[in-house]
Parts: sequence; structure tokens; C-alpha cells
Amino acid sequence: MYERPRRARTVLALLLAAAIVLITIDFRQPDGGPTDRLQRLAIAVFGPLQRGASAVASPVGDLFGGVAELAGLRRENRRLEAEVARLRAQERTYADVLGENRRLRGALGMAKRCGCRTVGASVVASSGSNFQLSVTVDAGSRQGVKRDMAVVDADGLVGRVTQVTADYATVLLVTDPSSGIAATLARGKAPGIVKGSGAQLLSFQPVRAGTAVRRGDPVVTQAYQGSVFPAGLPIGVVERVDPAGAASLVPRVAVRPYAALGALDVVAIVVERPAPPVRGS
Amino acid sequence: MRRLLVLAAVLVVAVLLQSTVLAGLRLAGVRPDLLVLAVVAVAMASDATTGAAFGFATGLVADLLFDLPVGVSALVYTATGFAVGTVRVYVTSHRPLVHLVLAGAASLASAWCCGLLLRVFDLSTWAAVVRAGPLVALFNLLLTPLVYPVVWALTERVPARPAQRW
Repeated sequence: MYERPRRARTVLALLLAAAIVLITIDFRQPDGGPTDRLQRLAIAVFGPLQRGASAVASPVGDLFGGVAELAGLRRENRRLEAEVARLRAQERTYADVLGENRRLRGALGMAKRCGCRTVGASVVASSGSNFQLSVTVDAGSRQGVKRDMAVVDADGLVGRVTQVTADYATVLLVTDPSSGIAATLARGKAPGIVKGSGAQLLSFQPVRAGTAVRRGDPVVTQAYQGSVFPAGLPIGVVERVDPAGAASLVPRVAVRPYAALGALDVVAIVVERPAPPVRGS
Repeated sequence: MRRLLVLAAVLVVAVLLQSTVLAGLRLAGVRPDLLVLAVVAVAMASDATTGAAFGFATGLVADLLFDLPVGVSALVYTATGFAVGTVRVYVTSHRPLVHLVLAGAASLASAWCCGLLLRVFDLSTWAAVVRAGPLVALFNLLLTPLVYPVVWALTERVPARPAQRW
């Protein structure tokens, strides 16, 4: 095939310029701008296709997953045997553990007790990018879903709605590096922000220096003015604390999310937070 | 026209596979990038112009669908398609190894460029960017023998119109 190099270079220059213009527009536009509308169009077109492909492909994916897991099974078995032994030893303290569990649940204020109105949805696809951790779910504005709503699974906060079409919505996972969520420690009510890092663990950044954080402290969401984010949704549990030092004024806190972010299938979107208690009643 | 349809079909199928089947195939938090493989294969089987245009279209759809800043993947895949389409003239060997190396290098470069852009916009972390490049390249190498011949055959079967001059 013969090709005129000058024509190819012109095409390249035009396309690169177009991409840069798109990036500029995307960063400068308000909600509902041109690339926003394009994005909704793309989700609306590909959503049904992705749902179909998911349905066909999930057994295939499971098969690959199964093969990949085989190698780890032997180690898993050894680990489980050790765990059984450990659990037997712990059996005597079962009553204590049960009590602690109940207290912990009380402190957490699980989503059930939040009394929020939620909409259920299935995950139809996840972001194909290695740098953006998000999923597409099959509930949209027709079901009352709006931007910035909280998304939970059975165990805890999954993320925040970032894009909505009539029947589909995109959810940015809490683990994404660009995700930041207002949070408090369930114990002590110290405010802070939970940020994603792209890896499994989240980081909790306390607002005040000198905040006391201990391993095992649950972290929950905090409501803020004008948002539908309810307070008290469980996010995760403090796994590691690097105390404040010369490098930073506040302690660095690693949080393990409760939600099963690696294997999401069904989620609930909080479309309305509970009405504040009526005074004097 | 038929060629356009074939390329569009390749694009749609690649995007669907990437967001469904491959989404579950995560090792060390990274998954293969089927889209860049499709771009490389199309560019190798056609020319720099087609490679760049196909890269732009693929990148744009990926940006819109995968919730990335719109234009980032488009920019990177356009450059990838053009670069591969330009280099192909010098690749005379039909040995699979040459094509594997090319696909791997293109994957590494595109993953790092994409990550770098996102890091510049403060949407990713250095650690994630550095780690993603080699892992994506490795996964793509494993995927190349499955994907590459299919896309190649499809694209080559419907050649571009014979060059017209006016």
C-alpha cells in the first residue's frame, strides 16, 4: 500500500489537536457540558451491549479466574488448616467475641439502621482502564439516581455516582486515587477525608493534628451540607497507623474497605437520606 | 465503506471484551489493555493514517465509557497508531518475535504515557503509573497471539481503496 507521508502527518496533527482540545473542554466545562453529553451518549449506547456481553462472558471470566486461583489453592488450604486450629483455641472466648461484635455493630450504625431509601442495581461492566476504578450499574435517572449519591453493598460504602444516563450510572469506587469522601472515626467522631490510592487500602486523613487513631477503629461516612450522602455508612476499618512525625503533622492511616470491591455484583444506591428527626415530638 | 464497518466492529468488540471479560482478569491490580493491541494490529495491517484515526476513535470511546478525562486515551492511542503505522514499513520480517516485541513496546509506552497524563492531572499516583506499564505490557504479550492474528486478518481482508490521485 502506497501512502503519502505528508497526508499522514496532517491527519496525525489534526487528531492530536482534536484530542488536546477535548481534554481542555473536558476540564473546563461545567456539569452537563458537551463532553458530558457525549459521555452519556456513549454509556447509553454501550450499556445494553455491555449487559449482554457480561451475561455471555461471565462464565468465561470465571473459568479464567478459576485457573488462576488453582495455584493459590494449596497455600490457601494450609492457611485454612492453621486458621481452624487457631479458631478452636478461640472457641472458649467466643462469648466475648460475640459481645464485642455486637458493640462494634452498634458503633458502626450499619446501612440497615440508616433508614435511607435505596435503589438496587447490578454491575454491568467495570472501567476498562487501569487508572480509573469505576463500574457501570444498571440503574439511572429513571430510577431516581443522581450524581454524587452514595453507593453501598452488603458490607459498606462502594463509591459515589459520577455520571447518570436514563438507565445506567457510573460509580467511582472509593479505591480510585481521585476519590475523596468526608468521613469520621466511629469512635471519637474525629473528622477527616478518606482517599483512594489505586490499591486495596484507602487512606484516612484526619482534619485535626493530634487526632488519636487506633488500629481496628471503624471509619464511617459523614454527611455534609447539600448532599444526599448519609452519615454513618460504614467505609472500612483502620488497619495500620503511621504516627505523626517529621514528615507529616497528622498520622497516616491505612483503612481496609468493608465492601467487596474486587467482586461487586449487586449494589444499592442511596437516593434519599432519612429525614432529620422532628423536634419536639 | 466495508473497511469502515470492519474497523468499527473491531472497535466495538474490543471495547466490550475489555469492559466485561477482561475486567475480571486482574493480576496485581492491573488488567491487559486489549484496546492498544487492537490499535497496534490495525496499524500494522494498514498504514499510519488508518492507525492514527483508529487509535483516536478507540481512545475516544474508551475515555467516554471508562470515565477517564475525555481526550487522554484518544491522544495516546492516536500517537501509538501513527507510530506503529510508520514503523511497519521498516518491519520486513515475518517472525512472530518481531511483532511480539512491537506489541509489547507499544503497550508499555501507551500505558506509561496514559498514566503520566493522568498523573499530571492529579488523577493517579506515581506508584500506580510506574507499576502499570510493565504489567500491562506483560499481560498484552500473553494476549497478543490470541488477538493480533484475528484483527490482522480482518483488517487485511478489506484493503483500503486503491490510491486515487487527482
